[in-house]
Amino acid sequence: MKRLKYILMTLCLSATGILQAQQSMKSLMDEKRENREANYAKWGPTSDHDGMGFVVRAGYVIGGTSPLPLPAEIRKINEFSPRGGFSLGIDGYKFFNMRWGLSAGLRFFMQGMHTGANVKDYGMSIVMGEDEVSGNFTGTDITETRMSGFTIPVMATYRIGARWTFNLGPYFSYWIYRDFNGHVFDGYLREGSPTGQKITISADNPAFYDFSDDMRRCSWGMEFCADFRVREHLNVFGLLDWGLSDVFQDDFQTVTFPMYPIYATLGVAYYY
Amino acid sequence: MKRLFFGLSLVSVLGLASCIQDEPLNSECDIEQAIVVTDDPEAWLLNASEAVKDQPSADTAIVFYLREEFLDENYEGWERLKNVAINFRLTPGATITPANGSTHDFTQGGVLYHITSEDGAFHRDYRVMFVPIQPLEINYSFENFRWEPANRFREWFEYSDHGSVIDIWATGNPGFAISKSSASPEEYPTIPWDNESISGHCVKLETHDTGLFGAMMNMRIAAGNLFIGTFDVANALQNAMAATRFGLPFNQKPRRFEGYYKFKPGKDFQNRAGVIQEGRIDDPDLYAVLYENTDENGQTFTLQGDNVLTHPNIVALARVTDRVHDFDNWTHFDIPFEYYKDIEDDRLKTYGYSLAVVFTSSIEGASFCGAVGSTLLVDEVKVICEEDENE
Repeated sequence: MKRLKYILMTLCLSATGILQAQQSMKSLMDEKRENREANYAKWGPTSDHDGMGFVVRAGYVIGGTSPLPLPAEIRKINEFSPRGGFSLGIDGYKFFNMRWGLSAGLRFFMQGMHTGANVKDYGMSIVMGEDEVSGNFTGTDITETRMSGFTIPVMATYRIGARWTFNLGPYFSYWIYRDFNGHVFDGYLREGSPTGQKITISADNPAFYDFSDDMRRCSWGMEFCADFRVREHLNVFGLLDWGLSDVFQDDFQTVTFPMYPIYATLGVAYYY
Repeated sequence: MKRLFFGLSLVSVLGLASCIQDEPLNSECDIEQAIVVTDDPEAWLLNASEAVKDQPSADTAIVFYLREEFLDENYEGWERLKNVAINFRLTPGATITPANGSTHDFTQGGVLYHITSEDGAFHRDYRVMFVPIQPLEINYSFENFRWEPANRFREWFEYSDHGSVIDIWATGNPGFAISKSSASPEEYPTIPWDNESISGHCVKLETHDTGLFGAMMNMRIAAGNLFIGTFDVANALQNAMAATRFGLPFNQKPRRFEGYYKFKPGKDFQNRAGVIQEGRIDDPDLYAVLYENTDENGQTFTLQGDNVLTHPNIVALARVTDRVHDFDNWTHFDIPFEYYKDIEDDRLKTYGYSLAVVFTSSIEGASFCGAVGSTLLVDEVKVICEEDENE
């Protein structure tokens, strides 16, 4: 009988222990969630899980316009410098729960680059009016391009932590101003094919081109944006606009490969 | 912040650089230079520098000129033509058959060489010939012309005493073809013309606009031109003055330059920048020039656009100076050669002088100044030489 008493006591004690352990675990988890929620609320953007508001973004744009992948004919990038500028915009956002939301915005931007490359046996054709020079160019090319206009991104928003938010979605751009010009030199063109007439184009007398008017006005692509909250209401962000439409119009034949604008913006954002 | 942007752009450059793919194999298959292996070139070739030929990229015929004695088919010198080796400089990676430097018999009309590009995708056939130099034709009626290989424009030539075609004439038409690919054959600066000729055909030279490409290269007009010599298209954009290579070897003493022309100036004379020069009226230019065709080191010398009237190698010049603007009637000219130096008979005998006959519809056309529409017709031109005069 005494033995039974011991066994029961032990069982009771252990059951209580398990219960107690469970209870303490639950309270710990609750506390954590509360902490997390408090943390999320603290870092914003809003204290509500399904809040909405605005973000004002200001940043500096760097990047380039490039064929993808780089063709084998491009032998060497001699120089590259961004000719960007600032970007200024406002996003409206709406969270559906603690993590997921949607944002859409309107931004003014300036993008551009200056690049010099050595090319070998590069198939090209330059069409001007009714006239055309086509063939294979070996030599140096310098290109400069600038665009400015408006972008409308529509993105899904995901809070990966209290301080980090990722956004991903399509964007649509309208270019108010666009410029694409350059010159080729220090090389030669084989007219028609590699066995055609060789035409020397020297550094003293380069051939200039300007395809600005052949650029599109409307383009689209995908935007990825990462926000990191450094203070309440204040973010730093990095944003990548990956163009998926050729910068040139569809009927433009001169540059035989599509070129895509790929520009990043780094800046600060303020949450309301 | 600036440093950050610099760092980021550096990263993007490196990123791009790392995307650079393996270098493609070369697709060109040219003979760039041909060198005859010989210790005594002057003993059988036209002159000492004749053994080395820089080959124009568009041309697949390589011609080495032999001394005049070779005009005799039984000349003993022909024996050595049975064993001649030629070294070729090819575009990088290209291969040649028969082998580079191999010995061949060139007495049977020449030898064919087959060049294949490094990537194997392209090939060209070159014919190498040895041809005796022949006296240059001196009566020009402009009746002999043909289509260039791509049928875009016409080329003029003369027949030798043996009836073979000799390409003595050149025009700037190949350069115009680059800038105005849309031009019809009749829209080229130099075309045959039969409406108003003295006899048969005459040649019509007209200054044309070169369009947007011309403006791109700062070469807005193309004067119609026709000259004895060659036009180096490869240099047409790089150094237009060097592209017109005037003159071919000559062995006579010219006395007079004679012929007929009609000229009307275009409306607006423009400078190189395309700016209209108020009050300036365009003029044609017609001249014949004789010059020493080797320099002090014995190397081949050729007059070109920027020195054709000024170089110290010039021996004699006959130039039409009273440029009549009359498009209704033919103007006859007969200009004596003015000599600046004495002719050396030995040099003359070995074709050590070259003769260039030059016509252009805009006198400053070589510098791309002139009036679009300036038109020069030329017909029945003669270079009268000493022997002819004595006859």
